[in-house]
Amino acid sequence: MRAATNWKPPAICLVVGLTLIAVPDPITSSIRSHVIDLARPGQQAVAELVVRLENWHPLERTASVTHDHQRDLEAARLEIRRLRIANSRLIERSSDVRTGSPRPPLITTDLVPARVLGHETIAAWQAGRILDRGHGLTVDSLVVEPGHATLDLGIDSGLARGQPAYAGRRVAGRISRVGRWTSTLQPLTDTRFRGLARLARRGRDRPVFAARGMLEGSGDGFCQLTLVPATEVVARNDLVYTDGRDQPGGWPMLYGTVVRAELPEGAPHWKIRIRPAINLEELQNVEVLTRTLNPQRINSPGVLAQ
Amino acid sequence: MNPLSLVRHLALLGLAYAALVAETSVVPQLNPGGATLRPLWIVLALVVVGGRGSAIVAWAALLGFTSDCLRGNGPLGLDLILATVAVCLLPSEWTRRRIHSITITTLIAVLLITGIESTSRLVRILIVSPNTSWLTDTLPTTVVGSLADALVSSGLLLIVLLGLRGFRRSLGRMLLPAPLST
Repeated sequence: MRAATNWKPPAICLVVGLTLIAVPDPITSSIRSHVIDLARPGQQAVAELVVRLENWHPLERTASVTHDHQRDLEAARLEIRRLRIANSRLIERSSDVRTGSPRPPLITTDLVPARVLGHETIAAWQAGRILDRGHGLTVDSLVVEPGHATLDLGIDSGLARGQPAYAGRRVAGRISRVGRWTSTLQPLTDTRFRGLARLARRGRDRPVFAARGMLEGSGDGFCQLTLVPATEVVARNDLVYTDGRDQPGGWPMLYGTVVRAELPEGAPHWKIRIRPAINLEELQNVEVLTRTLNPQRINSPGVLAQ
Repeated sequence: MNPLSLVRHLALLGLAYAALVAETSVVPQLNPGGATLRPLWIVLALVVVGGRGSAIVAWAALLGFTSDCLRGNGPLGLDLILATVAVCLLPSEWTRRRIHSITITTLIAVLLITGIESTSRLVRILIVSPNTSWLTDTLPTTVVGSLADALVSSGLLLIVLLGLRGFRRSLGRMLLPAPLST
């Protein structure tokens, strides 16, 4: 065997493989994403090919002239209908402009409910003990990460990496890895979790919002709130909410409660320890925030110009 | 490297990309008999029968790395190592020169896919749930599943190779001059 005499190429490959095994998880996730992104042009080409094949009717080429005329007539009728619809939309739009009603938002959000898979289900899946009736429930299609919960929704339900997950009005974490049918949830206590946050005191009927900061997971079941200036007032039992413009329903979600706040001598920022509002061990259901293009904006007026 | 060899490697690169696209677009929707097609390993079998020496090892590493990236769990680099080891363990008669036998090509595909897939799955299961009875619990189902994947993928390869051979023969008959009749 030639490979037996020339041992260098296999040795180099094995060293590369062992190096890749030792690479930390965030870097491997990034490498995986880049390689999968490489396939995107090909995937688009396949999708276009499928559409073309679906619309391809070779027998129509041999149809009679009468049939062609009927088709032209039908096309003309459809064109008239399309123009009428476009006309009515333009009238509607002009009346909207006159009355001052705002246009629908470009991006709509949706909360997709998902279940957390238990350890027994995951073990049965990995051992191939789940009856899939030929749907290809392979071990590879299960996405798992140490210390992260596995959800029973994946790409097929519109989930993507980075989408926030909530339990009621409390933050549970965000999606960290997505497979075909499953995905993993990075809890807000994970050391790699970051999120904009805002402190709030309990008011009479609603929280009174105060300083802004950055919530980071501590890795020990708690979180810490950083970048809160020393000039701000922070007290124990203050609430910590999400911050930013992209809140579901326009209302912030609860991260947790301040359990300890220290201001070291001469430090510019507070050291704040947060207890999460959610019990991650007993988490059974979450809702994942997905964002999609508003179909009302896709079908917006202006078709006459096309 | 002569021009013909360069063309061959470019063709293999095109095949590898097509396999990557197929693995991420078409294959997840196809489950013939509950098995999974593995186009990347089909390309690896073609590399073994069409290539020689060190190039086979390099291609095995590249295809193994691509397979690693497509898997949802486990360490990156595992399939790279397994594919490299698998091609090194193949008989030297298969890797020293080019093979034109369709039967041997199909056999190589079965051996590679079964070996790489079953070992890769077993190791990934061990990493996720390291209990004492993982081997007895998972070995039968894993090997049967991998063998099914290998048979389906090799069956597809066999059909394609037979089709190509038939096409080449009919093309040859068309292009060759017809014998003079008396």
